[in-house]
Amino acid sequence: MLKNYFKIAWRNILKYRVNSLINILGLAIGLTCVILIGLYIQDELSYDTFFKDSDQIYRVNIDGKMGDNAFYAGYTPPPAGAALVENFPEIESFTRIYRPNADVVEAKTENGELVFNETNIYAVDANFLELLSYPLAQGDPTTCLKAVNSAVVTHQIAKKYFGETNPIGQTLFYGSEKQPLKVTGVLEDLTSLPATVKFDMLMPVENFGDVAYFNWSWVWLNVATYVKLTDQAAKDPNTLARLESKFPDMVKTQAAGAFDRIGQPYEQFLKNGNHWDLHLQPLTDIHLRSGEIVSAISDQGDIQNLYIFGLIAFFIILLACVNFTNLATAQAGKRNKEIGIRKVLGSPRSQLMKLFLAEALLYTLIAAGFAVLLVFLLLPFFNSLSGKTIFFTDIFNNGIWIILIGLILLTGFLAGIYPAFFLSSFKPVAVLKGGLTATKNGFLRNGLVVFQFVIAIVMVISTLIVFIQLRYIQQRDLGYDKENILVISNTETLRKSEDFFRQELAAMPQVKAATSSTSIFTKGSFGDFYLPQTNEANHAVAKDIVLESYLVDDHFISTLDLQIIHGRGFDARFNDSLSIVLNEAAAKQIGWVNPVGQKIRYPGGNMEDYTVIGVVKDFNLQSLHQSIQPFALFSNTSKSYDTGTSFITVKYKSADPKELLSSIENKWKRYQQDVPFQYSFLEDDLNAAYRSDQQLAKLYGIFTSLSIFIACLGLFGLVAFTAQQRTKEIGIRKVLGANVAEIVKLLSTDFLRLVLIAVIVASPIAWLAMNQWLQDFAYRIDIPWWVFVVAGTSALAIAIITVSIQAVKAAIANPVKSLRME
Amino acid sequence: MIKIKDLEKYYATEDVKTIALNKLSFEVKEGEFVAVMGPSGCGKSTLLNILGLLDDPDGGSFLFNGTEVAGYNERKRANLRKHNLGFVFQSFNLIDELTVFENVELPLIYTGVKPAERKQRVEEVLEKMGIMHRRKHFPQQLSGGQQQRVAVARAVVNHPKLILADEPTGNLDSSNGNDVMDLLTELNSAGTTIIMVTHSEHDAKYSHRIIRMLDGQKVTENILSEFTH
Repeated sequence: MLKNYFKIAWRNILKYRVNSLINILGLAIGLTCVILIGLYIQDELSYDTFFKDSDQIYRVNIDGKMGDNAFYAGYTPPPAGAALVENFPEIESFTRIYRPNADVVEAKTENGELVFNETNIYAVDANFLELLSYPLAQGDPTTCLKAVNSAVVTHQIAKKYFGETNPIGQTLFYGSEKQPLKVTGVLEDLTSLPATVKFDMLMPVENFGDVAYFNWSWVWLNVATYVKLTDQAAKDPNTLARLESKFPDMVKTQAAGAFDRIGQPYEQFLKNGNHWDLHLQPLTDIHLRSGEIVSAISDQGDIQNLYIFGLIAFFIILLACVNFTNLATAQAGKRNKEIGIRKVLGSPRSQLMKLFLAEALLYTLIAAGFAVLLVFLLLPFFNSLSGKTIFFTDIFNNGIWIILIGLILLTGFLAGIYPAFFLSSFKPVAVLKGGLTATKNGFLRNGLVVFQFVIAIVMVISTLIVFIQLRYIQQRDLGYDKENILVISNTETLRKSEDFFRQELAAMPQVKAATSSTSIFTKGSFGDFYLPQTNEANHAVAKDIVLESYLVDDHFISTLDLQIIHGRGFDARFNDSLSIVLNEAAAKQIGWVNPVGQKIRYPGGNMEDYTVIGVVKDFNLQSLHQSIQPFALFSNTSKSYDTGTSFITVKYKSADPKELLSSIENKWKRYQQDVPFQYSFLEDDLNAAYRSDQQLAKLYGIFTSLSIFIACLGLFGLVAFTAQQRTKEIGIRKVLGANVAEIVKLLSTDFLRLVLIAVIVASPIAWLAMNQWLQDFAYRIDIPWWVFVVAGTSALAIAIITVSIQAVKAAIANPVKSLRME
Repeated sequence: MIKIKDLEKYYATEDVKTIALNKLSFEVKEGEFVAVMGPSGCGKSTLLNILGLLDDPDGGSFLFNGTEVAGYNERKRANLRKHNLGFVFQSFNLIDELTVFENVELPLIYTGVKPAERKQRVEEVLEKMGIMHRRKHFPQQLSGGQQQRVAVARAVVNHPKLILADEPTGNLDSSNGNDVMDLLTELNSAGTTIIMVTHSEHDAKYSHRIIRMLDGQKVTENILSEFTH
């Protein structure tokens, strides 16, 4: 029976070619989008699931509030992991990750020395690979990080330094001290691994004094801690809540000393409305469900994007199904006779419905074949666009193909169900008399056309707004001029000669100014806790404040064109070792009426009091995803905490920096032979922060274009059908003297009216949705009115073109021919 | 086999009510061949639709094999139809997308006959109608006479008790028309009841009895040959 249905359906597909093409093309594009989006979503959902016992592993997060500064971060103080394991039997083990600053790595090979600057070296506890089962190609996960001087590298790194030589047992020299490390393990290539934390090289955390130095501290939040629950504890759904309820007491006991040391007795700290809470986050939730949780080492996506893409996929397939429904019902006239005869011969309605469903399913199956082929062809392009590494064979993994079959069935069902109901409802007598015409269902068909265009126009408006918003945050004033700024890394390796090098650069004719600082925009900053001086007179509101800070030289403010609002900047004529320059946000949060001359104490250091000498206009340290935070500049002559890193930032004049770069590199080589010259342009670093936004926006733009295309395909088919149906009318009108323009107008007006209605319906929907989306940005646009005009006009224009192609064709046909046909 | 009494059917538009059948009564016995004649608009087609269980009367009684079928719903009518009735139309009404074989096979599919038996029965009837050699062709590839043979084959393949023919020769030339009438007579002599609507006095002569209609009523009855069981 099914074979019979398919056979008839196949003949119908061949018979109505234009329709079939429209249906199959629409469905194929729709299914291609859905499969690609599906693969994308599947990839996003698979993050960190490959780890052995991934359901037992959690990241320890901190939810902190200190004064006006509240944060939620994927970091912990160094001793938190050990304290958790010690206090709670449910927690079996812990491991920590610390990300040191970029440093040089050297290998001595037969061809001489190979030196590279490595930015992705992570320092970890010895059990790291035991707890997190990254795929090791060589080496023993339980022992390879035990020795202090060991290193585990990825395949790529091994190849970079040692070529084809077996890397195990080879020596790498780390940092400017050239500390020898023995390679004890080799990891598989991690590029395509769906892991939130990726790295090029691992070394034991013992190599980094900072971590050991701050082992007393419960406020130094620079390590990420992962814990593993016991098998039994992980199975109990109440474990998490039970554990987390006990954490505050544990923190109180453990952290009291540390808080005393920074001048904040913990009881008092809590009484002031602050908190310092640890939480456990399932490993597999980190990628998509981290929300506001900050982490610089993990690749965090956003589940919201998946919802948006899922919705887009659903709508695109719906558009294709609507095309099918519309064309099938519009063409009902052509099927009348067949339906009538079948009914006369005793076919029950259910069998006719099965016939039409089978037909829809056959269309979908053919479309699915094309879709799979398209996916195969488009995947490389899609990967480069989305930044993913999805393989075609992924379709056959993880039960995706089962979902795909389900999708085909569902699509066939969605497309065929209404035509099945509609066509099978005809009364046999009426049908045989030819009394049924396709116009009968015009209302529903018009409704569906409006529906399609509403979806398409909402997507167009949204895409426009996404692009405008991204442009806006990329071009917004950062508080400094980001153009023509070159950042040179690793300048701390120049040690005492750093300032000579800086002076030499500043003296170059193409250079306006150069400055040295412990960090620079986009490179992160050191945050700590400070106590502003309060007394009756100065109206300080905040008793304590968290300040991000750099240590800078006297040229920093002038090189970066930061604006001083009050007081002065650092100046060689003064001793500024106990001076501090605040940004507006910090001054405002503290609340001083007149900040200049006020004092701030740094309990994290040696309780020094710093005097505020100036206030600068706010500027953005990071991309405009983040809002401006209270910030301070210390002089590099101060005794404040030095992160040990240094950058030289050069403001240059020339538009073409190539020549400048090579001469700077030559100068660098004279000062520093061991460390490769490494630089970046500030503008590029900033843009990197928007890359994933742009990727998403581009994908979104492509899916939007496709949805418009599918909607227009349907419109094209409907107009073709109408023109055909009205052939006789058009012929008579032409005989009576109508010209082409009048006929085109006759055929187009109704459809264009529908598109216009869609514009009116779509605009408020898009406005509401995009307003919601914009809420996530710290800096956002007001939705401009003209996007609605642009989207509306372009939808109309595309519709007019689509409709006109068919209408003109019908209008210029010879009327004698069409009349003779009757 | 068929007994209708005071059968009524109206077609109503917003302001005009047209009476298609006005208290029509007659009886058809099993094995009879009855021709229905009358001018256009006299209600012949309406009558045939009701007899063919394609339409429902607005009043009166319709006994089919002693069972009252007036007021049956579409599902019940379809069921009765596929087991008992065969149709032959003026315009053949073959499904263009199906081959000759498949067109004839269709009623068997709807009555749930197994594929092997279907094949055998369809071939049997095609053989009988002399169109076996055309079984893989599509309707458009056949002449009118051949198409009507296929239609007749389709009408009889299920061994219906009653064949309803609506101007079966209307679209055929006289030689093809005579062939079809011979076929129907042959079926009738084998025991099938036939009710045929026609404009052609020539065709009507093949029947036992002619019912003449005007304005939805029976006006005369000509008995052409005595029909006995």
